[in-house]
Amino acid sequence: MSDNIRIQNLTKRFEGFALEGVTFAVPRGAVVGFIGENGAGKSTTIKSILGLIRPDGGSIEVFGKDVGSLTKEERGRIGAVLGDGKLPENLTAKDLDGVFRHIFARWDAAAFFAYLDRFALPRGKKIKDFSRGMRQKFALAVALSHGADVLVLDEPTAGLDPVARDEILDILYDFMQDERRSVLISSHIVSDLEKLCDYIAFIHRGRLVFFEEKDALYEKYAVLRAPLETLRSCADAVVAVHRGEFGAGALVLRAKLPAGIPAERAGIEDIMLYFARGEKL
Amino acid sequence: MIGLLQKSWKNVRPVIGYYLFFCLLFFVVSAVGRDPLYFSVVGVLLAVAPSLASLSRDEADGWDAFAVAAGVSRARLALSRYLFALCCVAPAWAVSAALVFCAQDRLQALAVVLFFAGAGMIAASVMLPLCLRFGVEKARVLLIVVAILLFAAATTNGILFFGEGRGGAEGAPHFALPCAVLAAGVLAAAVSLLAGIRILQRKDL
Repeated sequence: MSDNIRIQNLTKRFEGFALEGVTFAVPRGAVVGFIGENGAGKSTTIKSILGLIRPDGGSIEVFGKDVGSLTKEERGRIGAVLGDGKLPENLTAKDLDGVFRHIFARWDAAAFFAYLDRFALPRGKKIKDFSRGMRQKFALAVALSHGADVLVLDEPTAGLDPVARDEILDILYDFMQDERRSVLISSHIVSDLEKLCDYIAFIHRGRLVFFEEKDALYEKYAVLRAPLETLRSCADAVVAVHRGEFGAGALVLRAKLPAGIPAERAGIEDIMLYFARGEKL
Repeated sequence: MIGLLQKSWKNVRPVIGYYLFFCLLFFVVSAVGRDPLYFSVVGVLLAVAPSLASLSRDEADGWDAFAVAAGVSRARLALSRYLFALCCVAPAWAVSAALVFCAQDRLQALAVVLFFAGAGMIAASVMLPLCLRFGVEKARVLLIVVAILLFAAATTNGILFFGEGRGGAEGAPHFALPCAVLAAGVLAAAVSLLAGIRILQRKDL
């Protein structure tokens, strides 16, 4: 399967933070969930893909070409929702339609207004008067209205109620009906990612911890809540331990867990928490 | 480019009335006084103020990041700022040129128009790269410092090269200083454009 986005050893250094050696891909026909704590490097990675940040090292390819050498038309095939809902605030949807017609090579005004109607967004109201959820929906409507084959979404469901989030997931499902397309979505709402994603990339303190198929993660890891002595007895299987007031829990490798020791299913959130906050045994 | 200029225009649409009011006021003063001096000063204002307002709005909107993510090249984005400044000031230049024909001393009036056209270009040429590099708020502070330095330099050079007893007021043609300022303005605009493009190409958005 070829990749719509390929990131190799991405490195970017800021004062006090560094993104180091990030490597993963967004295959064609797949949805990749990008998770990590606040400040882990998700937005930096996404901005690098979109050409907003100049990396200090590594390479990023989109549609098989270096991101710096994409033509305007090729860039138009990338739909983006940036974090913090960056949108022109003093303009209305109608105003922005007029602007976007001359910015995007394949701007589809009919699709844009259809999404606005579907999201119940007013056409004549200024963006600054939208609620946070409305802005997120508006940003997604724009991203879906210019012939994008890849969506790069930085927390697109932040601030949305469960009904709205579910609506957006449905739209992303529809988007993915075309198997040439891909979605890279970063989110703190792990339950959304568990419904939607094929792959999960977890970044922690500027480094990629893992990039795996979601189902493979479920098969690979489990959570074992047991006394420390029990955990020590299967130390080979223990990836990370979290000591609490009432006992300890550990993220374990199922394959190395001795027979007869019951372990619970590890969700994506569990895996993330143990990797981020867990300690070595 | 049209889309970018449209966005810039829509940025200043809420305040365009104020600019038009000032233009009208100074136009009336110039027309009644038959001296384009007053309206020419407005040209300097129009070379800077609408662009500042538009850039400020773009900063608040995170527009640069959106535009680049949408496929607009950074060079084109920088160029659009300069073109927008030109679109704002060009009508003022045209009106100033028309006022020359109403002036009592047409040669003197033309010299004034040329001087302030150059001054406007210099002002915009200094302002735009500062805003692109440091952001509008920091640039406003730096602009005050730059304006004082420029005024001092212009006054000093004007006295040195064009003052009385130096082939200036009596000996030099009316157009020596205005043409020098206009030429400086054109040169500054070209250098500023290259600088602005370079700044935006290197900037993390």
